[in-house]
Amino acid sequence: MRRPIVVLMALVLMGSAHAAMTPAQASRFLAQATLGADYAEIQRTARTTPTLWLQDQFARPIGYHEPFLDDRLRQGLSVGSDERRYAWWQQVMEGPDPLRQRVALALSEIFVISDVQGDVGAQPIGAANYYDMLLRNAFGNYRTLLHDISLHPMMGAYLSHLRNDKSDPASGRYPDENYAREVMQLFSIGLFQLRSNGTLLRDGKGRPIPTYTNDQITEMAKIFTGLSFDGADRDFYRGQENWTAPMRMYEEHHEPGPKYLLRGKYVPAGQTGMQDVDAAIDNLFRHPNVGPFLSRRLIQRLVTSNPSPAYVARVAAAFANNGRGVRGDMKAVITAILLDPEARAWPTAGGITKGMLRESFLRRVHFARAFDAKNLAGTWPISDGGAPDDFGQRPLSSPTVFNFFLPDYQPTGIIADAGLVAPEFQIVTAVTAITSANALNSEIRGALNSDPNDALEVRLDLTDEMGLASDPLALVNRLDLLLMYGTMSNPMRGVLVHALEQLPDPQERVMTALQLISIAPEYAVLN
Amino acid sequence: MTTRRRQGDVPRRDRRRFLGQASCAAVGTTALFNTILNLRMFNALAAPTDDYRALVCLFLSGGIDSYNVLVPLGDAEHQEYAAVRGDLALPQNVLLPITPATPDGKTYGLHPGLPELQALFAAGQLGLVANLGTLAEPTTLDAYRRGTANLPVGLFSHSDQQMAWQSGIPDQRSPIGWAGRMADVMDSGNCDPNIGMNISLSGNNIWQSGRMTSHYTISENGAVPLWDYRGTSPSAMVRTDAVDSLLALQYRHLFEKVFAAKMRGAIDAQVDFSNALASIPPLQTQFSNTSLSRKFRMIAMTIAAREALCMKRQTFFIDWGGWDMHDEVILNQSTMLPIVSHALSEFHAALVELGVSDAVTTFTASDFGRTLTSNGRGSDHAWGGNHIVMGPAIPGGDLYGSYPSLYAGNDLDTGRGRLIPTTSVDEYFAQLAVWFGVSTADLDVILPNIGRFWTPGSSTPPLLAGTALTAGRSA
Repeated sequence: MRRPIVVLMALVLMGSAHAAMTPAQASRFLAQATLGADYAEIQRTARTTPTLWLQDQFARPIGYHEPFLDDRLRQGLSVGSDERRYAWWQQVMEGPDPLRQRVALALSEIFVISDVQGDVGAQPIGAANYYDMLLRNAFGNYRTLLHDISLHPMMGAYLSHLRNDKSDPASGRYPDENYAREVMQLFSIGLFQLRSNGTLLRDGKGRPIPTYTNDQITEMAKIFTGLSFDGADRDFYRGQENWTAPMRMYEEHHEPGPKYLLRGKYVPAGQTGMQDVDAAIDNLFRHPNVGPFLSRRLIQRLVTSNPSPAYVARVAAAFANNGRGVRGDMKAVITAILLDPEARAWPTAGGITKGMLRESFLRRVHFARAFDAKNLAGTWPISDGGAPDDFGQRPLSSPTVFNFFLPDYQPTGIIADAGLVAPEFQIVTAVTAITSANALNSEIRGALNSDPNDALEVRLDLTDEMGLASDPLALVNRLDLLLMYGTMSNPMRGVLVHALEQLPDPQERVMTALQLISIAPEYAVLN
Repeated sequence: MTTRRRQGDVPRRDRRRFLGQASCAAVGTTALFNTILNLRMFNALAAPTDDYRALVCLFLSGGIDSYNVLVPLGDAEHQEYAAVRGDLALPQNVLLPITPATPDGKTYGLHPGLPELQALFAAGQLGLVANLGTLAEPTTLDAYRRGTANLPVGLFSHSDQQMAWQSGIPDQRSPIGWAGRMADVMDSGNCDPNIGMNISLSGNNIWQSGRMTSHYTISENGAVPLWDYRGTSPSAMVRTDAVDSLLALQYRHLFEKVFAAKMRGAIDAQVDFSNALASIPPLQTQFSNTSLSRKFRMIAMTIAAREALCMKRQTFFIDWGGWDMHDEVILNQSTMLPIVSHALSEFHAALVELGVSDAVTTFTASDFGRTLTSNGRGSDHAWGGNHIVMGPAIPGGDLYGSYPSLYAGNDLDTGRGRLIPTTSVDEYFAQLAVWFGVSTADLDVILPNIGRFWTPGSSTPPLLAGTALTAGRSA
């Protein structure tokens, strides 16, 4: 287990992780490690190194979301899903912790709850608390993350193990299998056994080997019984709702008896319910699939849709051992992902398949952060009401627990023919290709919040760009560095400069430049 | 999506010529294989047909608890049902009775939220298929228990079973769907260069994804134009030129290439689609104000514009989710099933208004059925389930396949009332595909596993009323 780490460290020392960056390198690094950076942030980051930047980010205070809602409650103001999104934008734009906010969003697309579901939609404070739990654990340990997810009442409501009762032979009732299934399929080990590099193990007939049987799901379902709200009245079924405290165990509703876990392990009869839960979480945490499974998913969110098996193996090795004998250290995983030679290799050397399509909604966030979107009050009242239709996504609004797109989605045609996956293409349709472009355009020309008469409307700050409007080439070059880390092709630059030269109005020049980049294929792909 | 013409693909109008050349040229093995298949299908379908046919897939994603959609009504069978379902059982006296044309000695009722479907069934406009599901081969409980059965990949998993239903190849993982494969070989009957045979109301999906063709996505409001594109102001003209130039650049990166093609296709198809829809008179049929009814309304309008769109064969896809009811099945179905009932009956009325009710078949699909046993007001992932078909592909007023016994521990029960299907999705899809125009001799191109369940070319249709699956059943 130590060997890959040694190799990784050697590669890192040879590479750029310990060297100061060019502004272009800094821009690209921030495109992977944050939700977007403005010009000043790129210049600042260029004076540091990726390693130092990560160390600094890991040490920063956490930009929690729930306190904004708690403040509103104290002021007697309304708190709904819109206000939860205001809090999300507030911290994504202003928070002290851009890397943590980026990673938490990635985690929210792996450990999915969604306000599309009634309970989650009706409990914005609980949903913000869940998101804050992801923020808190983003740089912690995966074991704690999996534990906190499993016991959060929002997850309990979303995957129905809240108030999941023990079996009742008299009425023919069995424990609910929902969480038992998805915690294995989506949150920890996946459906099929993996090698440490994330590729599928196969049986003698070439078939993938399932990680669990349906009988093992019914056993795991017994583990997740007896959990309900931690309310003052301690009533399993009708108790007071508490959406911000972990669910508590009600022993009399927990399935008694021994229970089989995976890989030949079991929990004996007579343990407390919470001991059962801990044993099951340990059982999943120790499963050899977790490292490669989680590593591939996180690499896909931050760097590339199709990491090489060697890249997955290097990150999985960091998951297995952070270098100090600790398994599941998220800081080690994030460091391994972002400092890997495959992440840091400059795109021109990366061929024609590396990188990923930018998530539709994240183009919106990127523009907001790159151009310091703000209003006069320094708040971000952005409800994203149209985002699910316009972009096909919105944070914490996935249509199902399977996220907005599947990690193995293959658009048919040249991408599938090459044996590649491209998850983000699943939400690019003939409708969203246009509605997302129109939505970005209206933000470039107007405001990010939907009510144009709102005195608090949030607008992009294009002052610096207006200063370059008289020089189309200089304007395009600045935007190239800012949005495309200096990788714009000369043909694309030619199209933009030619168009801008024909527009006499400076404001029209700046807005058109942004609009064209926002729909350009070269911008759409973060490679 | 409008990747109808990817870079490197041959434009539609040249397809016939391309096929002719490719069959003689030295091409890669895979390409040659596909070309031969295509030629086979192409020849079978080459005879021009003036008729119009459409298939509409209503995918009830999440896995619908369909043993509460179609319920045994007779005293003994209902008691058996009530015993296994526990708190999920619907009372006998609320069920809406139906009388299948082919008697099987039992009586049935529909969920009380489906009066419109009950009426359509009585009028012979709607059929039902019992205990349908994904199979890799005819499967017995004994073979399942002993682990010797060849099973679908990812049985009981949402994402895998959605893929299995849509691909029509349950024992593999394939991003290509059976409507996509039909479009690969049949789309030449249609002639709009930007809009293909397959149209989705619910975005990207496997069912309509082919190797050479894909689907065009519209919203319940139709197609949306790119802001300011082809506007007449000087700055709009500059931007339009720039957009066209950007999308026409040669991209090396595969993702950039595909993104450019999707954006180009979306812009061009919107112009054609909006023009075609502007040419039709308004629909008189009233639709409910639900997202499902609005989607069916847009399908009816698209069918009304079939001549302007130059379509002979079309498929439509709606994914309407929310059926993963691990909790509150009774409550949630009582609000969601009436939405389905209204939408289907409104769609039927619109098709009658347009004079095409005998040319359009609508069918339901879903990830899987659910456990007969309760987890406490909810049910969990299972296997076989019951489905609804409206239209001529499967004659209405009858019950197809074989409705199983529901008692716990019956000879289909793999545990908790997870029933092994007695009719395969292959047989169901074969019935639909043959009606749509695929010749039975070539059916295995569209549904590669069909020979495991039915002998293509036999004189009996793939789906029969009042019968269960038998391996390789023929005349």
